[in-house]
Order: sequence, then C-alpha cells, then structure tokens
Amino acid sequence: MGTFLSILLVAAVTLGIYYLLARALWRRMIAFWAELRGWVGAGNNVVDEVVPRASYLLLFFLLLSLAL
Amino acid sequence: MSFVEPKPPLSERIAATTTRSPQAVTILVIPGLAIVQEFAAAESFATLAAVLASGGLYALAIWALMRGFSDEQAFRAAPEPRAPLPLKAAGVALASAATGILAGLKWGTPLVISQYVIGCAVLAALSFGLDPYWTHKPEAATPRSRLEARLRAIGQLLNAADDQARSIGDEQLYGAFQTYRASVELLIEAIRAAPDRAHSVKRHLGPLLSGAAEAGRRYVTILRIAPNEAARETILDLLAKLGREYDRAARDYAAGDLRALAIEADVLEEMLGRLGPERRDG
Repeated sequence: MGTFLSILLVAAVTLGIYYLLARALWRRMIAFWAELRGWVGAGNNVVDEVVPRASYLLLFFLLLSLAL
Repeated sequence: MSFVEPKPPLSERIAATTTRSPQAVTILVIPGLAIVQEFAAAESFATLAAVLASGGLYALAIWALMRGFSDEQAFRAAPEPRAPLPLKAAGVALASAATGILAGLKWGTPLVISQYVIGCAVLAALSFGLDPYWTHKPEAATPRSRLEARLRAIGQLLNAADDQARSIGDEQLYGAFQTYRASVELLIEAIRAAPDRAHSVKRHLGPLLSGAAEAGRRYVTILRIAPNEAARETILDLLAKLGREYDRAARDYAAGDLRALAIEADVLEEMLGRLGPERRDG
C-alpha cells in the first residue's frame, strides 16, 4: 500500500509539473501567435524573414564543413 | 512586483536578429580555421600562395559586404539616384571564390569545388541579399511621392506602437490605442484621397503628422517602462482626447475646410507640445 501511494504521489507530482509546463508553453505560444498575426497583418511577410535565416544557417554548416 | 523585463515587440525582435546586417558578415571568419590548418600543412609554395589568396579573398569579401551594408543603409535613408559599385554582390562573389580555392586545397575534385562555390554563392546571396540600388532604380522624388513616403513612415511607426501596446497586455489601453490609431488613419486616408490640398496646409500638416505617430509610440513606451495606475489613466484620457481631435481634423480636411483645419492643427500641435516634454521624462 505504501509503495502504491508513493508511486501515486510521484506520478501526481510529475503530471502536475508537466501540466504547468504545458500550460506555460501554451500561453506563450498563443501570445506569440497573436503577435505574429498582427505583424503579418501590418503588411509583413514571414517568407521574407525565414529564407535569409534558413540560408544563413545552411551557410554556417557549409563553412563549418570546410573548416572541420 | 515583477523584475522581469517586458519583452520588446516582435518587429524589434525580428530587426535585432536579421541576417541583413553588417554583424552577420562575421560568419565568414569560420573558414579561418581551415585556412590556419592548410597554412600549417602546406608542402609547397604554390599551396601556400593559394592559402594566402583564399584568406585575402575572404578578408576582401568581408570588407565589401560591410561597405555594401552601409551603402544600402544610406540608400534606404535617402533613395537618391547614384551609381555605386554593387558591393554586396562583389562580396558574395569574392567569398564564393575563396571558398572554391579552400575546397580545392582540401579535396581537389572539380565536382566538390563547384558544389562549394555554387552553394556558397546561393546561400550567401539569400542570407545577405543583393544591393538594392542594383535591383530597384529609384524614381526622382516629387512632392506627391515625398508625402506618400511620409504617410507610409507614419503607418510604420503606428504599427510599431501597436506591437508595443499589444505586448503590455492591457485590453483597455489597447482598445484606446486602437481608437486613437483609427482616428489618425482617418486623417491619413483623407490626405491620400486629396493629396493636392496637403500643399496648402503643409505648415500645419507636418507637425500634426509627426506628432500623431510619435505621441502614440511615446505614451505606450511610458507604460512599458513605468507601469502605474496614474500614468495609465492619464494616457487613456490623452489618447481619447487626441483621437477626437484627429477625427475632427480628418473631417475638416475631407470637407476641404482648410481654415478650420488650420485652427484644429494649431490646437493639436499645442496639445502635443504641452503634453510631450513632461511625459518624455516618465
């Protein structure tokens, strides 16, 4: 019984922590999503921002492969 | 009491991490590791010369790209027709050539060299972008285009203020800001609909428009830096008052009542001037 209760307690605490983490992440995501929609609504384009960053990351790996 | 810094708005965060900036060019120091390795392992003068040439080309590429970025900034600030060298394109070409030489020293096969040169050229051009004066030929500025540029700049400032107002997370303040913004946009639309009238009220319109964008931005910034109830109330009240005045100014302008607009503009200008400096310290 004691073992069962301690397993239950550990499970409850773990699930509680997961719940709090998931809730915090969800709230941040929703806030970011709203901000992003506003930014796009103001006439900006996501592709114009993503392409240079993705290329930059690939260029980094290309130059790194040359260096190592 | 929270000690967590408020997060800057998205547009600022995006601007701070862009690859279209001189700082991003530092990526070209990574091959320096390969240059040092090849320099140390060189077994002939020809190899040594190739290593030095590659290093020199990278240095030149970094210089050209940095100069290219500062030229681009100057061009965007004042798009005047001129004929500078396409420095960013030159930087990308130099970096690709240097990468080709280095790939040749390491692996030597033409296929690998081509892959590195093409890969570097495409990726660097996409990351850093090419010179704007190369792709867009600027038109000569006319009073109409200057007015349009000004209205567009105000729209951008209002967007930035909008992001800030949203990031505070205060629904009522955001609502008040939206109402104020709608009033300013009403005036902007009225000016766009009849740009010829703008010239006759130029003296009043100038301070009015710069005040419109600045006021919204400034007051929202105050709340981000020092959030308190008194400041919040003052700003809500102020945004409502300014909104009403801009509504009235937009109506006068649309109706062609330029005399009434001149009086309206004076009132607004005085209001912005009176409330501006004391709030700026906030």
